[in-house]
Amino acid sequence: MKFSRKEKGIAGLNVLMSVVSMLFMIGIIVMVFIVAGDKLTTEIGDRSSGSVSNETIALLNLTAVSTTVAVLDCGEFTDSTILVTNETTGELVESANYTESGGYFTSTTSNTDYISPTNVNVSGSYTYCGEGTAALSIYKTTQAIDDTTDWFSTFIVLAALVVMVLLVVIIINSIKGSNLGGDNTA
Amino acid sequence: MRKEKGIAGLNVLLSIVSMLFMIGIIIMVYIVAGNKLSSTIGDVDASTSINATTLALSGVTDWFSTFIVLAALVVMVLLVVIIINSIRGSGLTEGGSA
Repeated sequence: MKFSRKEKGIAGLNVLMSVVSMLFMIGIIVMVFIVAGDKLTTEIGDRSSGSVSNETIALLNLTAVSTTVAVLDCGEFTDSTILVTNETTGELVESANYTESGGYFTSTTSNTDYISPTNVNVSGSYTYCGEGTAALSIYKTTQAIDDTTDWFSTFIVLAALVVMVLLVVIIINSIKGSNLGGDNTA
Repeated sequence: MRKEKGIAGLNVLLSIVSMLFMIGIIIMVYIVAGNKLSSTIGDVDASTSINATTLALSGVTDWFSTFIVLAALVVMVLLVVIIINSIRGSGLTEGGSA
């Protein structure tokens, strides 16, 4: 009986090993590119700026709530300018009760009694990557490269399928070659 | 036919990711230079021209996501080809041979 592959006992595991190794190397490289890209986006210095005044959002328990800054490319508030007040009473909401990241506000308390009701007004200055700026170009590059890792699980599944198919082929050919089948000969 | 075995086009994906990052860096430098030129140059027409150039260059990065998707498709197609060739080479299908 002739087998198409000359390696014995490998069953395509060399394919799986190569895929896993390459994916790890690509992941490391993507990570380095993203770190470098994020640093460049921050340091390049041609970010655009703007301000928000009394934008009303509903702070929810431990849930990130977006503001208009969140939809901007690499938009983020300038921490020292953030002012959050209770929409009804105007009472200042202490900074310890929330965190801000990329224009998203998250309540840090497990209950909202202190800032009840949960509607608050947000004011502050922000920066973002404006159209045609160097910061936007490197930001979009980083975001696109970041999408590469979304495909890795698909590659692993397909590589595993290669191994499974070849293992099944070995099993079936072994059965056929053992004369346990109908008209095969050992 | 490709001679490398067991890689399934991942070298293509790695090359594309690296090239896209380098292109992104180069575009960033061009835009910085273009913006500096635009603010320094005194001639209005020349300034408009360099602005249009940098704006056009910045549009290149919009295609990067498409390139990543296509490169991933290359890898997926090659992995599926390996699977199909393995099945055909097993002799289990009509017309195939072990």
